[in-house]
Amino acid sequence: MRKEESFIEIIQSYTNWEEVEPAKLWTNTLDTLYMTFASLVAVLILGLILGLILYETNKREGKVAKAIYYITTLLVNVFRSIPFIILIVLLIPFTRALLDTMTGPTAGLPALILSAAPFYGRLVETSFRDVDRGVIEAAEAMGASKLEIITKVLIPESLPSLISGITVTAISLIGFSAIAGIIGAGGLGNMAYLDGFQRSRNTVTLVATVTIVAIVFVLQATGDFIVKKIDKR
Amino acid sequence: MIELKEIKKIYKTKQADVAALDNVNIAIQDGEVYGIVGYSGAGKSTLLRLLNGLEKPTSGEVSLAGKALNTLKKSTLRKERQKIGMIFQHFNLLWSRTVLENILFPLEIARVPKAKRKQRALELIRLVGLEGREQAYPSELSGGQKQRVGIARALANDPTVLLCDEATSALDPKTTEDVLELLLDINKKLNLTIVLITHEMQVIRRICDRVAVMSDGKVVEEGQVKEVFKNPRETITKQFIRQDTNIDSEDTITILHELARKYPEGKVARLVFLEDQVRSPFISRISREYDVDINIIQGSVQESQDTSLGSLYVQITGSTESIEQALQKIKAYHIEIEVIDYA
Repeated sequence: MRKEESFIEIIQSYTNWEEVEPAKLWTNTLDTLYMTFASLVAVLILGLILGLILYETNKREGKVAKAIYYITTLLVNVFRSIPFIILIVLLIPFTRALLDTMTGPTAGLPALILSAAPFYGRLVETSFRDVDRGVIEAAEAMGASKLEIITKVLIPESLPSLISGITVTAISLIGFSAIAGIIGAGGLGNMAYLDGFQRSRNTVTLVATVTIVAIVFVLQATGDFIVKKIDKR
Repeated sequence: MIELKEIKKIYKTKQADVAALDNVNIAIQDGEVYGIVGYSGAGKSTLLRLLNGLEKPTSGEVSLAGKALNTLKKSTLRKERQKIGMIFQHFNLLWSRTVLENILFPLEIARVPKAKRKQRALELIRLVGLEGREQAYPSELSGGQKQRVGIARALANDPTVLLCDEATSALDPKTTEDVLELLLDINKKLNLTIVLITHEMQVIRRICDRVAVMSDGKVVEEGQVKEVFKNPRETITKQFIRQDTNIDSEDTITILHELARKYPEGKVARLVFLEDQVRSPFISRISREYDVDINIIQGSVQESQDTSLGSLYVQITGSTESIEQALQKIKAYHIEIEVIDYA
């Protein structure tokens, strides 16, 4: 067979639309969205807490602050260094004990959260550090308490950057969820690999890919839109 | 009354301990506008922050209306701070809030009921002349308008003291003038004590009652603004005053040197007088009476809070004896003389 012919055949193998079952595509998309957004909520909360701890204990005098900063940094760095595919395998016994299963979208959540929360925590810390020192001083001079400074100054003044950060995190979560899918968590990653690749149905893989790309585009556009809307600087 | 007693502030660095404030004693009366002038690094910024407890002294006592600020509990200190307004060189407004919301901020912190908050904020917007800009964001305002928001925000909780941290240093001359006018106005209207730090003598001259000159963590000269301008003792004070009267402009210095070279027997002097004290044509009179020539090099009149201050740079030539007599006579007109040796 000539090389050109084989290429044409390959391309044709990506256009066998009858291979795609719309109902399956739909459930898998929902699974991916579920994994992404369920973990995103947890990552948002944990990341804010981690970021706040890092921000408040960084460059502080005092042994307790230094110890907390050291431990938090260590945890954050460790979990950020573990490749996701290894983390998910590492967590299988833990996930099984916790959820009584190691397959399905929910089983993907612990690993997704543990890998993305430290990442977002670092972004939160940087966002907080970019808040004008003078504005915080002004709030202190007015007699604001620590909590008031966090809720009324730190978070509102860094909101565009916090939202850009959560957008980036959400997009990397979609990528991670695809990997989790291959291990058995379901979703579009699972569809592309098991339904598509393993059964030699290239069109299925292509459709799963395009769907993921579309989700990423929508997320990014939404994030950018919100940032533009709220940034009054 | 605000009192600082034997204040020391020492910063420990790896190399050595640095004294930011070295035995500072200051007493500020209620309703007074008190200015602290000094170059950057003189310790004035640290000094100002002692007054609302943003900085703690290493030793000494800070007392405000009889209460020792440096020993208060954190929560009590926060409560106290609501009665001490502060404005800043870079305004430090929240970009995420509108003008109105920025002014509401200190009221939220003081837990003022919601309905009252808005009413008070609108009052303040009127006071600082920002009607119609309530819904604007800081990024849409000019520097002068931002500082007006800063002032309104600082006044929200009816403070007894207003601290100004280089409040006009980022503004152009015209806007500086307007903001100083506003500060003087609220000082009179609200009987508010104002403590300000600056490196511009012009600010001191325009609105302060008393001034302290700081250098290397120490107060080197203190007194009524009028007196200090007329009769400065320290070299650094004279430098600040000259900087204000533009005498240090290149041209003037060149001319002073040239004249000093040309007529080595003459004397260059700076005469300072208050407007209401000089009613007679003293220059022509003295020139006639003592047979001296008086050459006017540069002159200016500047506004201070309640009078105008004239300063005149002259060169007097003639015999040594008659120059001496002429200088004596000038003093008799209630004019301060500073003889400058440019030779």
